[in-house]
Amino acid sequence: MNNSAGLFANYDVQKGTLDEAFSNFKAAYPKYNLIRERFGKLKLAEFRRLNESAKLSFLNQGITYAVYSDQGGGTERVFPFDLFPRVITAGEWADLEVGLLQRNKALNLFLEDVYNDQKILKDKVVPESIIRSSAHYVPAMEGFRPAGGIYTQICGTDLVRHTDGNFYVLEDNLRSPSGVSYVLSNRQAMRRTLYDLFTQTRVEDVSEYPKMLLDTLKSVAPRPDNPNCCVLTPGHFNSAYYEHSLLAQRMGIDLVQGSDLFVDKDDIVYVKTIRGPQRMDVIYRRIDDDFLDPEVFRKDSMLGVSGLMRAYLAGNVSIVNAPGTGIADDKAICAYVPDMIKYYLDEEPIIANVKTYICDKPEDLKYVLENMKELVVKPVDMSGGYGVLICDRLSKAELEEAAAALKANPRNFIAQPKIMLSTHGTFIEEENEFQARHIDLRTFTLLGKDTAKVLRGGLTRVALTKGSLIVNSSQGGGSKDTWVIAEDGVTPKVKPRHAGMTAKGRASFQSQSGGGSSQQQESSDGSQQQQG
Amino acid sequence: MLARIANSLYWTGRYLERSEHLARYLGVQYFSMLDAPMSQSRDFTLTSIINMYGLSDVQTGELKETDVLRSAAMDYDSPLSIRSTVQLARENARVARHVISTELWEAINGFHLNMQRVDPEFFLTHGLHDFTTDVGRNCAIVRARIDDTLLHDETWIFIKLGIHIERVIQVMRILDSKLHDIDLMTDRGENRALRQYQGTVILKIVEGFDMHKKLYQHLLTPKTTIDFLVGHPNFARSLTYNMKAVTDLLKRMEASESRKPNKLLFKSGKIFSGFRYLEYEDVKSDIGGYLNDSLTEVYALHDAIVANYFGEE
Repeated sequence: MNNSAGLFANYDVQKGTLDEAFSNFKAAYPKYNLIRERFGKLKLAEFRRLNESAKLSFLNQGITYAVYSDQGGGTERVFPFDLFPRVITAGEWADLEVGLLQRNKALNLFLEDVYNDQKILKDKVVPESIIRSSAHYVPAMEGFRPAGGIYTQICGTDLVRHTDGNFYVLEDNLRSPSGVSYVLSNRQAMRRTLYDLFTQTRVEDVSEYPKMLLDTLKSVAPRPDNPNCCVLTPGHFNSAYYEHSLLAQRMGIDLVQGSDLFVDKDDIVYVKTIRGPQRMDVIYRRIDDDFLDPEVFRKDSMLGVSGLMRAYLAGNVSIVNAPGTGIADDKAICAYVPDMIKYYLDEEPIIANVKTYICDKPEDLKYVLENMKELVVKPVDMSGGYGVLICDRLSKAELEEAAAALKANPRNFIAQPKIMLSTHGTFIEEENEFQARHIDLRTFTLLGKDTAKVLRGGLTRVALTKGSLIVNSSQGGGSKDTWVIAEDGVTPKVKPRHAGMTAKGRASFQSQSGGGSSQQQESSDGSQQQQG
Repeated sequence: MLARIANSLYWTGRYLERSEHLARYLGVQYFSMLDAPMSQSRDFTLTSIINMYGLSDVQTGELKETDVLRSAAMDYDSPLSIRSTVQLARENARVARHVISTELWEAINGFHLNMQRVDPEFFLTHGLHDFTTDVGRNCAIVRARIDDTLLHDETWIFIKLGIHIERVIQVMRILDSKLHDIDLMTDRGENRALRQYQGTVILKIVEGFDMHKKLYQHLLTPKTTIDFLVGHPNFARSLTYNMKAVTDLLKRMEASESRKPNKLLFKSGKIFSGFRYLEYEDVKSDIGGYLNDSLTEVYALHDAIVANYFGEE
């Protein structure tokens, strides 16, 4: 390896894996060496200081997540952040963007179809049983078309780079994908800590995301003039509360809890303000369908708003993302997305899927049971990395137990070949050096009425445990800043100009009268100089 | 503005202000034990701290200094301790994080983190002075962030309302607590000097000693103390000053309202006038009773604010 100096001295790319900063592959960033050198040159003590300062900046900003324990209550922790940035070239990103828009448009057409005409089911492209048996199917959505035909205004597609150098879709997150606040704050931490890197590399800005999101929310408002939008949070004990709060703050809209809202007899949603009720138009909800409205979903929900679905179906409020989108991010459905793209758009998928075996199909189940050791088995409706079985790491007894579970309830599982997620140099505090760790990429696609945008950047998640493929924060994952390289722009010529320093201004600015001692003296060119 | 958010802002102000008064009371009261003209008993000092904090879990009888100091300042399990109070201010600010400035949020969050980092053992042996002054310094920073980085709109009004109401309550409680201390001492012999010294302690707790001296030269009597702390219109920790501030804030809220005028201004104006035009001669026979009656009115004003703006929760 070149540039293997200093902190990278013992860096080892694992056999059979692709390392995004060290391996040679088609889409590799040609100037990675400059970034590697910047890190390689740092002394351990210097790097540790930068690392501490980044950590402290997260703590001071209150960027923490709650960890739940059996003892009740949560403790706050800082999400582990790694300073060595992951880079994606402009060219590769351009393709990903088109691919992500294609995929998420098809998914929205699928949702509209399933809840209305069900053509794709009648044509047997997607088996009806898989929809009927989905825990996330919402009968109340049948026959309803949300504004612009958009169900998933915010889509979080997870991509992984395989050893062949290509990105594959690992899964779609279409309910309330989280993590974008870390994209924003990771970038801020990088800019504060390693600002010199940004002068040599032009990176796409991510700070526009809240504006993009607000535009998306407004685009689907039932009343187009000055719609009132809010973020609906389960409350400040939720592990993603920081994100809810940050997005509300950056968009300049209310952050509400279920108890702040109510629906009147005319099916209009109101928010309780200090001056009485005020109408609400768009609700960006960060609570699950189950808790949204006790009239329709779980009756014991304290987090939701009674009557919200009535107001929604009457067209008086927009819920973002729409209820019932979970049927399309069911991991068993994920396997059919390439077919959906062909069916609805008559296009070939731009980003391929990871090959997925649907255990509900007898022939797939047979294959999975026979080849279990080479596969990763996942429950279809769990998130956060829970329940994922990497079968070559299981004992014989554990394997048998898993096989029994599969046979008992095949609809609940899918299996995928073990994808070797690419690796990236990650500073391991206990070892005081950079080591290769597996990473993935969560992307954020925003779809509004007649608008469609992909955030240029994303959340690179890191599995901090050596050899682990599970990157979720709830399972000990960390994250990195993700740089999408920007095309070179034009630097405007700047003329020096002293703000407000007219001749008169200068006199009143600097000469203190009344016998006081002036701290500053004017030099001939009008700039300020310290005395003495 | 959301009623729930307004409520959190108000309580951010209240807890923030409370932490500072508690810290000053603890610091000044503790060190007065050492600075007093003659030995002031340790039990007397510790009991005064217990009374002011409303601590009930500390063993009465034979008082252990470390127990009292720990539950007053450090104990996160007790909601009454200084560190818990700061944490509560921070939790309320976190709920309202999206409507305040980043600078204000980071100041409050930083305050809480500073408190968390304090080692209780070091505090008990060497850290009392630094800890209590640090609380005051942090509060000053947070208050500057409130005034300098927020739009002076409803967000600001509710925080300030919390600060000024809490200040009125705490200054009255400090007076009440110290007057009780004085009552415990006879006005004879050695105790006489010690009794008079408590006036100095009161003024130092509210950081008004220097300005009181400037105003009354070297005179320090119960009358000057009450006149200064209750009635002075221009001392920022007097009851008059703060009820004026409360009334002005409520006036601003009412002015921007289309609903029918509420009773808040009436209540607050009445309390203000009571303080502003208090005559010492009228209350000197029972200052404690007077303070308690006034405190009841302030609590009633708080209830009315809750009912009017925050809805029933």
